[in-house]
Amino acid sequence: MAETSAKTKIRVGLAGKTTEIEVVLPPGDPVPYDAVDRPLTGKRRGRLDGPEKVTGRATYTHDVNRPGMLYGRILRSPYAHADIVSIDTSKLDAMGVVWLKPEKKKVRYHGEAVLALAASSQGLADDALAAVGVKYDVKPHTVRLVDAMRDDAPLVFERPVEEKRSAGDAPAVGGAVAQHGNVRGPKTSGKGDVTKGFSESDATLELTMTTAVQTHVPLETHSLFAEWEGDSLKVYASTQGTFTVKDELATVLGIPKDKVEVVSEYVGGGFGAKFGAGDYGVFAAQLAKKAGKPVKMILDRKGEHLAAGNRPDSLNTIKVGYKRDGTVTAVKYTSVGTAGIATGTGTGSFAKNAYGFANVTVDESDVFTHLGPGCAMRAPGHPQGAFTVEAALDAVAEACGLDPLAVRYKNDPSEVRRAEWEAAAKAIGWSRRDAITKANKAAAAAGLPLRRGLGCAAAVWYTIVSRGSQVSVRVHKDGAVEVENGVQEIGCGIRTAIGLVTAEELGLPVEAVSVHIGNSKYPFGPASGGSTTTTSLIPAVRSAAFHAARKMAELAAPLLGARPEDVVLSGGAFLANGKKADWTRVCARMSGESILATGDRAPDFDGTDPRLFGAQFAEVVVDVETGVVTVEKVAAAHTCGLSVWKTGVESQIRGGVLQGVSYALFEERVIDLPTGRFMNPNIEQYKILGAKDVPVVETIVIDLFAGKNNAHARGIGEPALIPTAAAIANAVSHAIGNRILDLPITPARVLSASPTLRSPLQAEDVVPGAPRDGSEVIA
Amino acid sequence: MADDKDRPNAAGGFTRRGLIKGLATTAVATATAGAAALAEERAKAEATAGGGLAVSLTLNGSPKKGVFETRTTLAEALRDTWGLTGTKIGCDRGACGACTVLLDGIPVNSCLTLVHDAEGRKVTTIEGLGSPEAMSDVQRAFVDADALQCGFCTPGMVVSCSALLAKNPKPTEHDVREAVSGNLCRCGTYLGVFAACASVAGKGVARG
Repeated sequence: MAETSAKTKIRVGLAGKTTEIEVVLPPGDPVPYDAVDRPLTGKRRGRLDGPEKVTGRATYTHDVNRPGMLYGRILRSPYAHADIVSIDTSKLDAMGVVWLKPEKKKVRYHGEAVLALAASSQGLADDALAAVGVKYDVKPHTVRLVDAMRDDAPLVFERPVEEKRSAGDAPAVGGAVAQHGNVRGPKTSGKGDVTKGFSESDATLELTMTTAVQTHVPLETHSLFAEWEGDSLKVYASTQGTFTVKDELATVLGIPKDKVEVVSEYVGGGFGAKFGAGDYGVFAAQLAKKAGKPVKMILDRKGEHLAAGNRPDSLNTIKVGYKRDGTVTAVKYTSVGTAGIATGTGTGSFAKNAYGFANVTVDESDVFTHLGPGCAMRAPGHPQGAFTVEAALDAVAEACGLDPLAVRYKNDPSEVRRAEWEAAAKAIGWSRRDAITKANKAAAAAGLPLRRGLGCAAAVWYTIVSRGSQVSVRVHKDGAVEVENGVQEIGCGIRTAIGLVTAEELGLPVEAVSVHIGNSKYPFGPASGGSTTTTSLIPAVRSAAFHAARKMAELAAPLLGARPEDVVLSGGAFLANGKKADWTRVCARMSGESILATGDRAPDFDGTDPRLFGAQFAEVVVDVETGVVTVEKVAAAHTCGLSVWKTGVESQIRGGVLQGVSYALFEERVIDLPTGRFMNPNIEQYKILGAKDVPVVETIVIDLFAGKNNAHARGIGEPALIPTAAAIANAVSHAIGNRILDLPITPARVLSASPTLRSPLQAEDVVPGAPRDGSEVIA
Repeated sequence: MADDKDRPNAAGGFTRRGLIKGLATTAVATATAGAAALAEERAKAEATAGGGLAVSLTLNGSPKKGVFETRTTLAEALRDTWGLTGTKIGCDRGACGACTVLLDGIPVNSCLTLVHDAEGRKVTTIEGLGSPEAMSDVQRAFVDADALQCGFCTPGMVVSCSALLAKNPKPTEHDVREAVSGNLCRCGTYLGVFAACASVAGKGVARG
């Protein structure tokens, strides 16, 4: 409990294998946790907002209702590329509808907003959309990656495009890059000397792999409710960034920040697509202003798919130089992808950061197409990169006659990851792999349809600290405790984590603490993207609660005949000198109504490798007659410092794995090439994983005294998703004896990749013109 | 409770909303002609003249009346008129199950059910199963198993699982997967849902 600013010894490293280092702790910050076993944090329990959520009491943005409220709707372009010639709104007046004067602009994708309106019911708003007459001058479009790269492709933008960052992006995103035609890039990065690396290799191999566009599909579509009181705007937003919405609305509407309040108490999923106010949010605010009534704007599921973001597709080429012992000496990695009218398709970070490859060059290019904008989606670029790099490592193992896991060990210097590989390999039963290979050969010889496969892959992500978080803790004279921060709860459990840390520091049960979040009137909190929330906020929560505890100890000290620094808060009481004073008795001694303590997110101090590691293994069964892949089990070992709330960490891992299974097997945006239209903007034909597709998921959480902050707190959201599709693809490749090169792994693709049995159904979706040669070249 | 297999069209509405929109009045007339009293029909006709059609049903155990446009879905009526926003709309076309409610004890997509198709019937929403202060066994089990993350699909999941457990107090995991196969969760909480149902079944308690 001692507070210090001098050099302090703290323990760092894997639990059970820690070493001591000396650090200078931030002034006033509590000493980092020194034990895995703590009274409240790091344990399993239900989430604090569970009762509200399971009973329908929790109020999401979709649920906000006001008397006289209007319902917003957006008219969207049915064309991929067109100039708007005229917009006839003459029928709207008679319908009692409010609308925003539209621009006669160019539309660049199917689903781009053309006009926004609001009416007294959702039905009337839909009727009003149908009453608007728009004349379009349809222009040629380009919607396929490889077509858009050609010199004669219709241009999406006439001028160079600056890249915008969102809070969910990987660290490298942003900045100016050369643009030629629709191709923006390449952006080149890397480390070491690739030419030297290839010259040191015994052999090289090259793979070309593709991934499809994935949409976020949060169950609560993007939505914003806006109401004005005079010149002040209050909104409810389904967002991953209470404060980013506030900033954007203030900027776009040209009003001071103190006139904008953003509330976001419950959010029905985000996964990277919900950082800003969005065009729909600005429309809602403008419509509300014009109507003089509150407006609720909810994107319908179609609009959500068309316009609210997606994970870009990718065409990745990896050339690997390796030694016969499995050591990778050089990696040349190229990615191109399309985020439609947006940027940020690069997939090369995994190649640079996941393993200890000494020599890596990465070239990444965005290709503009007439399609809805891509945006950050849970671990941008990384599942695609893992799919590509991990396939190459399996190919190296095959070429060298080595076990795939042995090749990982050869190239992975991380002690943390080693512990994860070992734990997860044991959980999946990796030692059966050779026997499974033999059994598959026997099944093929006997003409039987089922094959089994095991595959593995790694995760890497980064500790990204969003600075400036501040937390306040108030203790009232009657004993009540309130903790406040503006952060939003998107389902990852930050509300619960805040409650547990605060209560533990005050020696109280978690039920004694009221957690107030999701409002921009509270102190600043981070946007939830890039696994930043826990590491950015929890140390500030602990600091605030620590200072509250110290203030309370001063009140208690005279009762106990002790110095304040000797008073311990535990079990709802203050302890010192073998004496005990109850919480409420001490609170009653306050001279005023309450005491207030605040905590800031102090800068990081020294600690362990800031990368977030993980290792996953998948076991699959493949029917080579139907091409259907069943994922039976995923074993997932992850490390996120010391868990603040262990159940939440495990739920995040399970959720990441299941999204990864979905990405691996099912998800694909389908574009009609002649019209450029998105053909499956729904959740019947855009297939996501359902209850019947769910494998066994074994989660393994490895405790790491990470250092860097007072709670050893790190994130888990992104890494949990990154390896899953790659591990499944490698497992399927193992099962069928041929390499899977494309996601999603549809039955047609399995059949066309299976050498033992070929169905008349063949996959046609190999990208024309792309090199598919996976053969080994002896250097 | 009737076996839902015998009543595949229990809500009168696995039909797509767009298709039934124009036919709604006819459908309601058919559904109610036998049961409704003449006076009630007259009251409805009067209401129709004012731009809507009256409906009366039992909502979470209490009688409820309203006048709605004939295209109004049960989900819209619950959420926008009766303030029961625990029922969510995730897709508005029966694909996600977030709007699942019980109609005479049978789980249906309330976004595919016109409010007038619930005429004279018992509607139970998530709010009717329990409250934060008095959760049902299924709700309690969801919290304990952390069978939720963002929570938006959760009311529909809870309703589907409650219906399953009321009918089949000892379901297998296969039964649970079947029961929630129409409930999509993007956060990936399914394993918790399976565990929650197993825990309720293990206690031998099967109240909704």
